[in-house]
Amino acid sequence: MSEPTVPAPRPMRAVVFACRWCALLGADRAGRERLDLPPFFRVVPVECAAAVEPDLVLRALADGADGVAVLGCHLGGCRHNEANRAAKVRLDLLGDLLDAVGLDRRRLLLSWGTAHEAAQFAGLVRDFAAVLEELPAPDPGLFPLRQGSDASC
Amino acid sequence: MSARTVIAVCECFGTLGRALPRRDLEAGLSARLAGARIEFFPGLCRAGDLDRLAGLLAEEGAAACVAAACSPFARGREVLAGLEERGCAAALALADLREGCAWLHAQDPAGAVAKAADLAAMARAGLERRGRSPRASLPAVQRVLVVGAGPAGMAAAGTLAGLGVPVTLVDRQDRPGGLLRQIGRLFPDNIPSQDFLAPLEEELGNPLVSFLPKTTLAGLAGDPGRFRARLANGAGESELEAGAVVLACGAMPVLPEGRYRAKDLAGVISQMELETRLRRAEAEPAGWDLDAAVFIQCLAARDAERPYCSTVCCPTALKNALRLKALRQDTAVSILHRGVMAPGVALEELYRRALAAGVRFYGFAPESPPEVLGQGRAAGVQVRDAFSGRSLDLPASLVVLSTPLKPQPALEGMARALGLRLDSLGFACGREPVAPLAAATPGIFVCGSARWPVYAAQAADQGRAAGIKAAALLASGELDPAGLGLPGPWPGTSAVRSAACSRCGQCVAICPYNACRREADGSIAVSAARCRGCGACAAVCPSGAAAVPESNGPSLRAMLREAMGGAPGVDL
Repeated sequence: MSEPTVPAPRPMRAVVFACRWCALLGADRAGRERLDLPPFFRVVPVECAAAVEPDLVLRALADGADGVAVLGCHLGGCRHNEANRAAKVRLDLLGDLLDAVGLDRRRLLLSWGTAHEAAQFAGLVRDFAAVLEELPAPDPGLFPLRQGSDASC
Repeated sequence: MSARTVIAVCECFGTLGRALPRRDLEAGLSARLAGARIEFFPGLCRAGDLDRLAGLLAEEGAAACVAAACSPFARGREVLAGLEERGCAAALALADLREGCAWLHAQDPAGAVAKAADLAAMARAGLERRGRSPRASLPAVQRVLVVGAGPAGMAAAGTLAGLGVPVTLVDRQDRPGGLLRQIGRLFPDNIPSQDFLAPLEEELGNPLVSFLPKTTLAGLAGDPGRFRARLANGAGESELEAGAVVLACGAMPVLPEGRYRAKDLAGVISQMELETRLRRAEAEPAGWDLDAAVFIQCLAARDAERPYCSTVCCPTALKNALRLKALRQDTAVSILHRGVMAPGVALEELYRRALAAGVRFYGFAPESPPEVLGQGRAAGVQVRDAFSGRSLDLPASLVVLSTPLKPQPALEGMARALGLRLDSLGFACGREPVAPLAAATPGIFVCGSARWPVYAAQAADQGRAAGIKAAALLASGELDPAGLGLPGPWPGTSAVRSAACSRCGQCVAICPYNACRREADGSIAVSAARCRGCGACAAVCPSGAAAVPESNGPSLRAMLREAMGGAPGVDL
């Protein structure tokens, strides 16, 4: 018997890269306000959205994430001297790439300055869950190495 | 792994609620974090629990400890700081199980427990792979370079010298004073400029100040604490070492350049020209004879090209209208305006004084500007009064055009050298609103009208503030890389591993702080005094050579794997 090509259904998962100057505060306040959110996402705090290299997003998707969110400060309000502008260009381009390879660009949620507040953060996360829910499972052929070796990076 | 990792779970006095019941949480963590020692504490923000945890870490010889507690914005940072205070040797990380999990997912306890285990595993995985940035103090030269000797620069230099910091003050002109040298009196109190400048000049008499006349800043190299400035004067260039730089180059008035027939009619002059004439007349009032004057405000301001209010022109017009009235009370003086900008108690009072002295005010709409009448010389001004809608003919043998201040042409080049941003209008920006006088590069400050048109007194205030900032930075004689940047925990400093570096220069291009630099031999070096640890260089490095050790690629990578439940990951 060969391995089944379609993995068994498993709970939806997403990674949220949250800039510690804005979205991480929104996430913190969402908790303080006890906003009820589905527990499908894992927050990875970053110093700046500019630190999220496209490769990390792809690796998360390859690892089995249904979606990746990068939440940064508003353009013009970056704590790191406008570093997030270049990040936006780079990640927008990654979105094009996701479309091109057949992974829907909606799997990459980009938000600039819209996650500072608890309700904003919660809204983004809930909407993202709804989007990911509707997207068809990615073609497993896109990840031929998914069951493969775990070489160090 | 020889030394175990300790997972210290804070129960937060039971507030983790029904989402994370202790028994389930313990089972979830044990299943997920094989090999780790898991300990529960009632409240890690209590000294007693911290003491117990610190003792446990020492006894265990633990290499790493994850505090599975609350958000860093709640008491999380306190917990880590408390452990450090207790001399804890283990590497520390925080997993936010309270705001980040228990309090968000009360409706789904099973999901919350799985997430809590992931979060703790992520923190552990990141911790085991991350590095530490060196935190060596950087030398700081005890000298500040102040560029521009107007009121802002003079006040900055005087303040620094008063605080015992040697200052080099440079200016294009041969003596300090800046634009005030061309202005006879200052609003709102109508004091002679010299009276305002005199105490500032006295401060410059401090032997710690060296003033270099007819000198400009030609370039800046080096790093915070040890900048190397290239100074140019007629004789050539010289280099100056300075720990910090204060830019106070001011702004310059726009010239009317033929608008309102300024070129073909005698008697149509700029506000600056009126300053000169008034100074002469006030010194020798005998020959002064003026029957009627009209001021036209907002010339080349608040239009498409310069969509800003320069803020100084209305008070200047009020002041000069009163000076005309003081010279000859029966001179008819009218001010044609698009709204008189005289904010604050002192300027409102100035406006009322002008009204009381008989100065007439007429508003005009930008689409129907006044028209200057006359042949060969100004005879009058025709204006459609926006309030009454009537067309008025005002006789005027003198028409004064109020123009705004604009950025110095040299500002752009200097700002580039200093790493200062310019706004869309060409003025220099600090880090508004948190540090409005400080550039993104530590040790670079900007004050006065280089930032935005300000009054003389405001310029001097900003200069003093910038001087104090610069003095505080250099006070200890050295710079702590962790203390230079943004508030909050230090994210570390980027480093480029030369063995892995392909020298492509992407990091040099992307770095928002000019911290990544190409050395003479082509290799890339990162200045610890400039780097703020944002990680932009790591994100663009194709070789994995650039990284902030505290958040390096392997640690982020491992965290992602754990975020996905710890399944073996894929390398692309």
